[in-house]
Amino acid sequence: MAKKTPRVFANAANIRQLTYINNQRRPDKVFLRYFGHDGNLEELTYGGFFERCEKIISAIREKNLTGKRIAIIGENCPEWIEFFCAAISAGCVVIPFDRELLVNEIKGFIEIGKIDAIVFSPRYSKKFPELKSAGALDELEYIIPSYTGEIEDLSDERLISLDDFIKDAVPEKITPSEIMRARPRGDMSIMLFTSGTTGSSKCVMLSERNIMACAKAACEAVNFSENDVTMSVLPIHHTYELAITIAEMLYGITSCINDNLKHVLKNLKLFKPNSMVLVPLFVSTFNKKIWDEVKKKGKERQFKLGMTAANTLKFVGIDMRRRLFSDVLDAFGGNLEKIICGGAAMDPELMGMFDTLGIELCEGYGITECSPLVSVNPYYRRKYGSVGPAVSCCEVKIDAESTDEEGRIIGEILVKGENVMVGYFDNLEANMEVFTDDGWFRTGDVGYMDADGYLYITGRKKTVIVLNNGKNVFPEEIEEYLSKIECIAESVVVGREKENGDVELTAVVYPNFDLYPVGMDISVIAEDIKKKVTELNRNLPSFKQIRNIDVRKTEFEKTTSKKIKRFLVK
Amino acid sequence: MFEEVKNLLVEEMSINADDITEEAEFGKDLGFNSLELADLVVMCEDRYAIDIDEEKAHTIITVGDFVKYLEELLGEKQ
Repeated sequence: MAKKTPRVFANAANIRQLTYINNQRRPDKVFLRYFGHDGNLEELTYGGFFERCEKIISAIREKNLTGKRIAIIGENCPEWIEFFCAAISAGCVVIPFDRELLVNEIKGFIEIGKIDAIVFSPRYSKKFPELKSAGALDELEYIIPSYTGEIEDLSDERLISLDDFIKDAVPEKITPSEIMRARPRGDMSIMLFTSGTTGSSKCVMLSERNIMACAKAACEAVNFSENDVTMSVLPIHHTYELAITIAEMLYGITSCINDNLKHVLKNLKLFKPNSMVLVPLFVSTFNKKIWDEVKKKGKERQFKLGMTAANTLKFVGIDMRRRLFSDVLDAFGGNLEKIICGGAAMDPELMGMFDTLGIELCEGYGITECSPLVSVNPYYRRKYGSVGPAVSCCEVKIDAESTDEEGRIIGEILVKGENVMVGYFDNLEANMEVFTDDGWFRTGDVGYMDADGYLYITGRKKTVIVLNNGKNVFPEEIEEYLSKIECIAESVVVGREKENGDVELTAVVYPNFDLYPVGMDISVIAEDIKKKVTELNRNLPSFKQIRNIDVRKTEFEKTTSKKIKRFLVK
Repeated sequence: MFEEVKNLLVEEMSINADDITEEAEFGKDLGFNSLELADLVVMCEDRYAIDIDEEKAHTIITVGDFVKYLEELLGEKQ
């Protein structure tokens, strides 16, 4: 295991200070490497990034958008990160939208969030005529495509490309000492909607201080350095990727942007990153690919022998891992040596597997409400199966509920610290529920801590289903869709773990038997329901699609107030 | 085209041939995750020299949907 060494990263108080410091220290260093609109590889330096951010800050002020709410929707790209950093620095509230949102969800969030402007990338321009005809854009002051180009069927005077938006902006007169004296904003700076626009929807309010505290704590726990090259594959609208991007800026790292899920392997070979931040979906798929390739070449036995040899040699102080497995590592670009994994539970065996190959895998735990990082295995002391100790910006404790057979105290995980959200937007009831009287945030996750303060997650009190790609699915939302299918009388959606550790959405349904002839075979009814659910799936983003259906012959057990006892449904 | 896709799924992605029907859903019945679906898309793009639209790929649910879409693309190409 790596030794603990001093971490060297910028001590910036807020995002503007961070962009300024990077411009001073490494103006010519490449911050982002990415595919431009024409598909060519392009680069943006830290100096160029600072300049663009300053221009956007000025433009926001000149157009009287200071303090207003601006949504951003799009794939990971420089414009997304620039606008995010600039808008926060200009005192705006940024609302990162999930790229997979449906038109009615975008419309709902624009209304609920009282959004004033929207920035979007070319891939989303197709949605805008539909959004306009649905009336979703009526209240917006500005509609800002992040590229210069026409949007078909959308002539609108509020439409202004990002380049035109900043074209005439006069840089603000602000001295370096003014920038360096500034403090992070403690008020609502980011709004994050946690699910669809149903009754279960909540909007998390994070401050700039939250996100900066989280990013700095991440920097302390991971062994990244200024010389690292990362490849970004997770969507930037997730707080996980967002906080990591800020952490990478604190270190002054070069980040390469993967343009498409289809191109992950190709881009790994192109960018040759030495570090990545992933969710378990990627780690388990990488693992599967390694084994598929080994099997296809008929080298399973040799590979297993090689793994044993590598571990034995390492035990006696000889590290041959990267040489022994160079052909395997080449498939991932050849330089990959560290992975941070979070967002969902990971198979603990994968950590051992990747260690054997010479890739250090550190698992962490987070939740959007904590910006999101709560704990991570530090590089100098990792424990298999644990999500690590609390990061430096927060404290964690267990709200004792029971003791397991090994005498460990199990209970809900509570968090207190600078990374904990400002609260849920416009939702007093939810805020009362999640904060204790003495200021601890109830995560809804259940676990225990060992004697070293390392956290282990064992379950969940709330209904949210966390998929291995880190996406959260709120079963109530899917059940609402199912309730609109006539042949389904009742349903409960659960996340079932498969043998390989993946979690799949399963709908347990009680049919509306009145619609079928008396005595009809249940398998025929199940087939009919399956067809209807397939139709429903066609209109849902892939992560919300129902993967499995269980048809039951009896109604669900109910409480006295006629609510389904969902905890009985597994 | 269905048989070609079926062979691809069996040979390259180790899917059990008996599970592959036109109605089989990639996620629900064949156990695909989003990255594996992306892999299949890339394989077909390379094999048939076509470009599969990302938005469209999201709406492909069943093997039949995929076959139909491939046929459309190949038809346009000719």
